[in-house]
Amino acid sequence: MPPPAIFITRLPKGKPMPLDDVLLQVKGLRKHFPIRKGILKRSAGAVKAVDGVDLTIRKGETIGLVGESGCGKSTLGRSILRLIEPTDGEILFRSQVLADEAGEAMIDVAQLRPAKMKRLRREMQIIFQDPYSSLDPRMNVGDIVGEPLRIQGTLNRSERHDRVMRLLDAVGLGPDHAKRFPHEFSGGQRQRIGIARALALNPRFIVADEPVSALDVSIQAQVVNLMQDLQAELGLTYLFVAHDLSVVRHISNRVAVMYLGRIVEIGDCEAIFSRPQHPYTEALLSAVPIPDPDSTRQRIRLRGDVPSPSSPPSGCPFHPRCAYATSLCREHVPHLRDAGRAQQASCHRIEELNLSGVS
Amino acid sequence: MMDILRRYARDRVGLFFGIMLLAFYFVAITAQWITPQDPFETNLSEGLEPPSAAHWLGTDQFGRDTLSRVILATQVTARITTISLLFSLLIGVPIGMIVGYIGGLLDAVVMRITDMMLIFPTIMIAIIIVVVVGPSEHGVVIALGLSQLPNFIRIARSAALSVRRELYVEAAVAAGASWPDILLRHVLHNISSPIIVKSTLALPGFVLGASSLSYLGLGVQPPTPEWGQMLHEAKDFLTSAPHLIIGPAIALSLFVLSANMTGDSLNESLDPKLKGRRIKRIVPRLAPWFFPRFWSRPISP
Repeated sequence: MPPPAIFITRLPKGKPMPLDDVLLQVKGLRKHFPIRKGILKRSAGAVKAVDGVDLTIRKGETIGLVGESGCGKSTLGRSILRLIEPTDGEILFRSQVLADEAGEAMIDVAQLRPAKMKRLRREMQIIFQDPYSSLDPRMNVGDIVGEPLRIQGTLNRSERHDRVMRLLDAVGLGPDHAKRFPHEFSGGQRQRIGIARALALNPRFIVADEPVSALDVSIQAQVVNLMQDLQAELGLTYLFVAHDLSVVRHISNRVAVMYLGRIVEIGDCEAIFSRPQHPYTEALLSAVPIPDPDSTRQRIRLRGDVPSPSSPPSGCPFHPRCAYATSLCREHVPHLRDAGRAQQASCHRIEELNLSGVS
Repeated sequence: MMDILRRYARDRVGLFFGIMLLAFYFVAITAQWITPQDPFETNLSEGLEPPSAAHWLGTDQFGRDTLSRVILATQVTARITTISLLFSLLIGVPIGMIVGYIGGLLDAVVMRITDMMLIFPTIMIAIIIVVVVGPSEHGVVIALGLSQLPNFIRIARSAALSVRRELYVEAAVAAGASWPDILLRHVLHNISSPIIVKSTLALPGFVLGASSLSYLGLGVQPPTPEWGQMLHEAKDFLTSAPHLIIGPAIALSLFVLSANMTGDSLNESLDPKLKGRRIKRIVPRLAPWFFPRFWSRPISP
């Protein structure tokens, strides 16, 4: 690892972030997958996987993105990196690589042409959920970790080798691992290889797409701690996609809750967990297990399934499953608005409801 | 590379047949210099002689030395089959990889074209081509190459389709890789094993195909020796000079067998997951030899 250019101490949890130092700003991001029917492939509606997301991410923070399966968390993360082409919206990123042309201004990633996009990719990387299919079984570990460097072509062969060795060391693997193949490693070790690959280009922003969901609980802690150490050392910014709320609580400064392609609540981690302002967040939190056999807390069971993202319900997308829904909720779409000190929620009844969180 | 060779050498059966295949190619390359007699020199007074010290495999109806003709036929056959294989490999694999990776309309169009090619039996394609080109070595090469082309396109396409969805491809995209880069680095790498298997299974098919066409008189024309063509000539003397059939028949069988077995062993040594493991399964490995599948083509690989 070269001496880190910036030392950033981890941001204190639960305290409001400074409003400057925005690294990434997503505005009105949409990703609709068209549904095609018949032999003529007529367009018959669209799956609205991400449907108008606004999100601001600041330098050095970890933002946890939670929600149940199919709510569009992964699609959002991939769309930001343009691994999936977004249908609509802006992705503004404060780039250093492209700074000489555009100054300190934010660059709209969604509009970049391929040559510039390739250069920008040095600054944005991804860690995948599945450590098995994310490593090419026919390449050895050294080649896998060095691949981004080879693609970007910034280092020569021997520099690349040195860098790969430092990266392996940084993620807790030895130099002798470089010649081995992925199948010789355990899930946790493979995830470390994936992290080393993501770090190879010295990125500033990393989308971690459920990086620990496929690992044993004991290994999860190791990987999460490794990610936190690397963040402190390298000044990384994470978008941490997960459905495990306790992991999210551990690593995140802020949390965004997604439901049916939209962010329904966003705010400081502790505020969200202790005082949820959206009924969906409350329901999610009630599913967090409490290590106390005498606990009498009632789990909120949501009725029905997640509605189809191709035909979301009218009004508030959550109203068919919400215990507090009124006629207003059925007709009018709520928008994100301030709810408390460092928190926003999209619910019509923020002021009336007194929702319970977890301690 | 050395690693693969070392793993390959550990497999005794594979090593034996690999060396035999190399020996065939050695004979093919040096055929001009190692034939004991001129394969074209006729001597009608010594026609249809049984094996002797002068003619180890006897002589044919024109008094030509059968051993020399089998040796020269090895060269002809090796040339025809290798060029046909390269033809379908070098055209089929890139097409299949690209349409499989890009997909969409291009994929649909190419697949329908290969379907159309597949509904014609090889022999019919061959007859049409021979009518166009005339019965010759070129005709055989084009006929065999074209007849196997759809199979190579399909196998490369289906392999590329499965690799395309892998996360490591997405990781390469996230690092800024272009699609030709991904095709060369990841797709080709990961489809090499089905391609090698297909090639080595197709090679005996090409040999049998070339011989069949020659046997039917559509391929290599006399006096050029070719195994199938030699069998074709020998069948007329099956009762009076049965020794004529032995040379080409054994050469043909051994070549097909060694190509098949070599491919099978190569496939195992190419897979890093089988590193250090020895797999002994003689019977299933001999199966393709006993049931050559040249005329009945699998619909999907």
